Amino acid sequence: MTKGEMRSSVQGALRRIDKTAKFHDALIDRAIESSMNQFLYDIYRKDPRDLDAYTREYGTEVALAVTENESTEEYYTNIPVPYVALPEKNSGVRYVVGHNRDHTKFYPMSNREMLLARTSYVGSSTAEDGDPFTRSFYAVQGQKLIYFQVNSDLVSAGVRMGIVIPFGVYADSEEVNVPFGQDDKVFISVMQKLMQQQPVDQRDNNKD
Amino acid sequence: MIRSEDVYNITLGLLKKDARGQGFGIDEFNHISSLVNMELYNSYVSKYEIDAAVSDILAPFKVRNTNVTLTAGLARLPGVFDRLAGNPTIAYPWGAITLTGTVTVVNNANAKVKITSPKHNLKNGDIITATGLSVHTVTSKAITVIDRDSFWVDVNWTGADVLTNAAWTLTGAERKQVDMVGELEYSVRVGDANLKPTIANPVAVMDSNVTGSISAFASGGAGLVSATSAAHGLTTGMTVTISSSTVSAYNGTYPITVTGTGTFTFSGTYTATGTATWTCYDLTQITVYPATLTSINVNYLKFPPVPFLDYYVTSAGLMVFMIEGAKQVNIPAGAEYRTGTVGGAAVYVDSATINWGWDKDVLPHIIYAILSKAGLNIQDMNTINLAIAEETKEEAQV
Repeated sequence: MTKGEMRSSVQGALRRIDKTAKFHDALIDRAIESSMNQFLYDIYRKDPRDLDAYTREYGTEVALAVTENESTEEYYTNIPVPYVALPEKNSGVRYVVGHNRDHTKFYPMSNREMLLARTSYVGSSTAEDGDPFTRSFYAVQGQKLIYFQVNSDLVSAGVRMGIVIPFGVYADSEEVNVPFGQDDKVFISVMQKLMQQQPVDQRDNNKD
Repeated sequence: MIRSEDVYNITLGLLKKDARGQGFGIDEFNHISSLVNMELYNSYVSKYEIDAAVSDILAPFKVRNTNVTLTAGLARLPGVFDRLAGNPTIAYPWGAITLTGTVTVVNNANAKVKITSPKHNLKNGDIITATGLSVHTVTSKAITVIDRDSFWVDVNWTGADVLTNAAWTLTGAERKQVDMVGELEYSVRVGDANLKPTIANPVAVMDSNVTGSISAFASGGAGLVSATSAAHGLTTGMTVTISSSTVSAYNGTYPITVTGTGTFTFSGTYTATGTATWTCYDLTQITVYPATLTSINVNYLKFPPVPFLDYYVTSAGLMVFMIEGAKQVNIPAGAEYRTGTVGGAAVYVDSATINWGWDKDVLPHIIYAILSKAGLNIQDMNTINLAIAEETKEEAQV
């Protein structure tokens, strides 16, 4: 089912209680997204590896740039799309790899760990002087990925990353992965949310 | 289409049964026709699309899928526009291009074109065509998403583009409605994070405070001033207020006569050219948000043409009706045209006749509606009562 079809199904069902179809598409999308996020969280709790089905890789053909913030001397990458927040250090960013899939390994850090690492000698113990880092660390800060220990090869090549994307990121004509076998539950959950609110002035075509 | 002449003759025929039909003059008929025409229109519009029969009756006045170009979100609707039928629509998805740039794509020797279009709502493989780029030609190219606001296309980068109303259209795009809202709702929505107007969920408001600029004045003939105003969209008979004229004598409110798509005349004495602003409340304009949208499609009802029967009277007292669209009709010697002009070998006029725009099945309704008013004119209660009864019957049969 595409995103547009999913929205239309909800709109169609709501017409039973709202013959003028006043529920605005944007609010239906928000309701679907919050329900989907809930079910993605349930999947995460059951087995995080199952989130692969809902993860999309960005930077595959066009590398995501690793950029230096010159004032803080931190390297970062803008996360290209919103992600589903999950209670883990890497949140909705499931993996990061060098764009060339080189030997650099990436490990998630919490922002607190990143702060501690920067103010300690942790970094200097991971590579011989002059050798490139073979492992890097990253922390998710809002829509940015902040790195610790980045070598110049990585900066020039960029990265790719897998992100658990929310409903809002899908194009209208794009197939949406509904959490495993939860189609009915997602639908019912959305309906319950929307039926509780008065559909006034969301889309009334001047009929009020 | 119903000929005005037929309507008049039938009406007269029915009134003559009363032996006073000649008391119902053709000029009265024209006045009443104008009223009945709008009365009928309003009656059917009040039931618009309530069922197929009403839709069929109003079909001659319905215009579907007219593409209207927006300038900064604003468009003037056609002069004959009465009201929207359904909501306007836009091609969707669609997007404005805010930037093009170069991007390196893995396994491609040449840099490709990256297109920035915030919240583009495209997916990998969608086929687009871009317009408004000065350097690159992007025609029916598959896109690959980079992030929510940008994508790249398989076109080699050759240099920086200058963007002129740059936008992309999707092959096979669907259409999405533009939500018509009131001013109060718009003011609430515009500040609402979820419901504010976006390309995906546009809104529109309408008003009639239509203005235009006059770039020049000229003599329009005796007692007339001609104004030049590009693509004014006005129609003859509309009332226009001219203000801020550099020739202050032209300021005022006038009924106008359209003489071209970019010119109209109004009564006055030409003294000099100049510039001015005109305002016309007879026109309607639509403002669409967000203003980045460049066009909408509208379905609308147009006002029915105002019926009129033009004629002249021969020296023998015979009335000759003129057909719609007739040009250079000779008014023979001894005859007198409707306006009082005396005929002659060199006297020619263009017919002012306008037929009724309705389908033939509305003819009985028209006749009875005219009769009920004609009955008032000749003070005949029987005619009034009969006509009202028949008119009610006609309405019930729709």
